[in-house]
Amino acid sequence: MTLDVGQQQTIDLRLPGGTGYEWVLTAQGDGGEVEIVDKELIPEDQAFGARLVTRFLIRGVRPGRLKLCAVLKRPWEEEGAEAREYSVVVHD
Amino acid sequence: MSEAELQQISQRIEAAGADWVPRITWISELPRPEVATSFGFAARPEDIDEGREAFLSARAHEAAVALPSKIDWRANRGNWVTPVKDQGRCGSCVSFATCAALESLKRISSEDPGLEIDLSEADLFFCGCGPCCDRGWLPRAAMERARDEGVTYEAQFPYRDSDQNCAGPYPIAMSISSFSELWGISERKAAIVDEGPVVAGMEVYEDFLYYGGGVYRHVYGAYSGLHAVCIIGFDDEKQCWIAKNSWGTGWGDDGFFEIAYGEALLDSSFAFFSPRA
Repeated sequence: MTLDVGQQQTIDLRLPGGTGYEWVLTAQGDGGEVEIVDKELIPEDQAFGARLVTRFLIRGVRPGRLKLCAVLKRPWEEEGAEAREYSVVVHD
Repeated sequence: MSEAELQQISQRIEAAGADWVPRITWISELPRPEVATSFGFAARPEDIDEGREAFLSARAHEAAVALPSKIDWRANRGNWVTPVKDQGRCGSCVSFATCAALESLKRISSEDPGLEIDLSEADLFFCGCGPCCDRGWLPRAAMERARDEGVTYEAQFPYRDSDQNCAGPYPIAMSISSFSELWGISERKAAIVDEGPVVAGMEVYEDFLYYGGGVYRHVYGAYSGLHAVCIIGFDDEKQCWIAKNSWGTGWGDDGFFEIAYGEALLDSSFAFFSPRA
């Protein structure tokens, strides 16, 4: 994933609904190269337990490289159920 | 969610005059500015239309109904509530809430709080709805399935939290004769007192994931979808329903929670479903 300083980009992650799970986005290092501007939860259906999309909107803050890790987990559990990694390059 | 945000939840709980405790065991987050996100939500119009008549009818009779101010089926001359389970990563909450209500109903109708009964959420969900982990389900459909086809034992079709093929029919462990949809508050309480635990629907917000005890009121975070739970009692002094969730015993108050009357659209947009033996 490549973006310029000031540029915004979305990361969409599917979330099982009504299960207590949430996607948590973390960065290696101080993560100062990007910031999360917004986080949306978008239902795909109106049934009980229907899946949602978690949409993170990130913005390039300063040039550099970093890895973002998205972890699907419950706040009260130590272990995540699923993880995804994104290599991000922010250009000046 | 960051530690600062958790602190914010605590502050908002206090500011809102709410009375529940947030809890977290693991925190990490990218730096981000405070963002207020909200989503429009429309309950199914047919649910509201169908319930309106029953709601109005029930309200007309509410004044005449004499009810206890509190009941908790975990401590009602015995524990009639079966252990909390965990639906895992599958949107099968409707099946777990329904099986929870049915298991209690079986104990109550058998007049035996120690009765061993463990119904198959997998049978009800995957045979009744299909591969529905992502799609979710509706309580009325689950009740109809329990009435028309019954539910087998957990041992016959053990639950896993991913879509499973239904290889039934399985031996029936339990079926119900009928069920009712309840909209009026007194009507709901009367059903819980007279029949036992019921199935309810609610909106989930992000702060609900951090509930650790007390009477839940939404104070923080975005709408996170619809969820079904089993209501096992109520407490008028605390002005709350007492409920059994399906997120394991590590969540909430050993898997249970209290939620204020009218919170999370629980009383205004979704029927309670009361099964009968």
